[in-house]
Amino acid sequence: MGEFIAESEVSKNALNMANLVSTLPVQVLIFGEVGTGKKTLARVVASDATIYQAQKLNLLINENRINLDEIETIIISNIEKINNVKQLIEKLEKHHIKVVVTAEDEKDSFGEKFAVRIDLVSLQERKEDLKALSISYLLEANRLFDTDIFIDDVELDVSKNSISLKESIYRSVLFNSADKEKVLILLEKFLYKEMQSRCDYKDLLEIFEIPLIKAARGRFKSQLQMAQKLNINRNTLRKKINQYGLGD
Amino acid sequence: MQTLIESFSEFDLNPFMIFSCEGKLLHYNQEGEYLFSFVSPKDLYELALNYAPKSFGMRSSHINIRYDRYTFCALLVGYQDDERIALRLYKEMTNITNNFGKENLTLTNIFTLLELSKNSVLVNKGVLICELYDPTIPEMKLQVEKFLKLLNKIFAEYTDTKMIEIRVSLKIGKNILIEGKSYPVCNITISNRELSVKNGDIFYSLAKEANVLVIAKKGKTVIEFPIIS
Repeated sequence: MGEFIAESEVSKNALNMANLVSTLPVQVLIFGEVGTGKKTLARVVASDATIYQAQKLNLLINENRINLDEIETIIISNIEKINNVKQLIEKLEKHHIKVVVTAEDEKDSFGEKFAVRIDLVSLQERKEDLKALSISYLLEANRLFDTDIFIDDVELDVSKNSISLKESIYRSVLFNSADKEKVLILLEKFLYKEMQSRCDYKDLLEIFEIPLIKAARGRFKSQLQMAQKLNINRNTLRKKINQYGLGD
Repeated sequence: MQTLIESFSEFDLNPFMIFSCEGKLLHYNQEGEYLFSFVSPKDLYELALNYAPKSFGMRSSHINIRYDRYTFCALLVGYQDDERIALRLYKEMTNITNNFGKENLTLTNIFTLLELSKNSVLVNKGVLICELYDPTIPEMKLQVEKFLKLLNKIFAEYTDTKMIEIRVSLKIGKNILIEGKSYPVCNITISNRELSVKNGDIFYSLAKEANVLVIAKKGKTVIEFPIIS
């Protein structure tokens, strides 16, 4: 798990809170959407603690497979997925365990059980963090794939915050670094798998034709130009565009 | 010379007072005099009239009424003629030294707790916060978790306001005696002139758990606690 990036005011504030509360014996709730950095921040509060999924921890406790007396601090993720939040926290309190929980959703107002609440807003609302995180992921990906892609060449997806951001950057770098040989190997592997369910030549042709038409449209704009450059009949091209539902 | 009954009344720990039929104060004991610094005699006269027996005689009622730092659990109202009416209030005895478990205390910085609570509750609420802190206040031992929950509840009352003032200071001239040892008192005042606190009762129960004193009134909430270092 990486370092918590705090470039925007909100996340600087959250990091400051995490540092302050790390020395106090209080229960902490870190709240935010998926991929906003809750677990990374929980590590700032409790660096040595083990992270448990709430449902898994419930199971371990119920089956007496965990010795609570040996635990000083614990991080529980996705606390909203269990129904007995208050009982679980009370049980851990009885064993004098410092609890840091992360949640994506709040139900039954369990938030009141916690003395400290840290809210992490989405990356969309943390522009400075988004930029810093994007650069960090891009450097990582460029190193891994031995490429030199710039941030402007990458299509960023923040629908799931850092999770989708990282995925979109890695995908962009991978696609940009792919040469003919890699694409052919990839296609071969894909087709091999695909042939478990369908083998019809005409049916599989879409795998070549759809990207071909999309790329040509991106480059040549009009159907007239596309047909000329691809060296096929305009009617054939129009037919294929309609067939694959690529019309505007 | 005072009679024994008069002396008993004078030094009683519960406030006692007698009003004329127009509401004028005719007599009061020491506790009564002290109570007038928190509530006006006029309000107490109204209270006496509200709980007076229907005819001549005495009537006691169990109530829960709070004036500043005092909570009263019962009162006695009586009159024997049309000229005078007497009122005695019975304090609910709570003491900050009761059940003071030192084993749950953690040495902490009060400003850290304020920072955490403020950020837990008021962040992104657009409340302008004016802070007046006495930086000489030392680290002290508190029941951190409960104290934070109390602070959170108090700040939650102010989330819809535009501005609040937080003042942290030493209470000059006041000490709290715990197990024979005297401790100076720290005072946190959270104020907004327009706001009347709605959830005062929750504060009192949380304050009891945290072993601190809370006074909630129009425009401000005050927390008092000993500085145990």
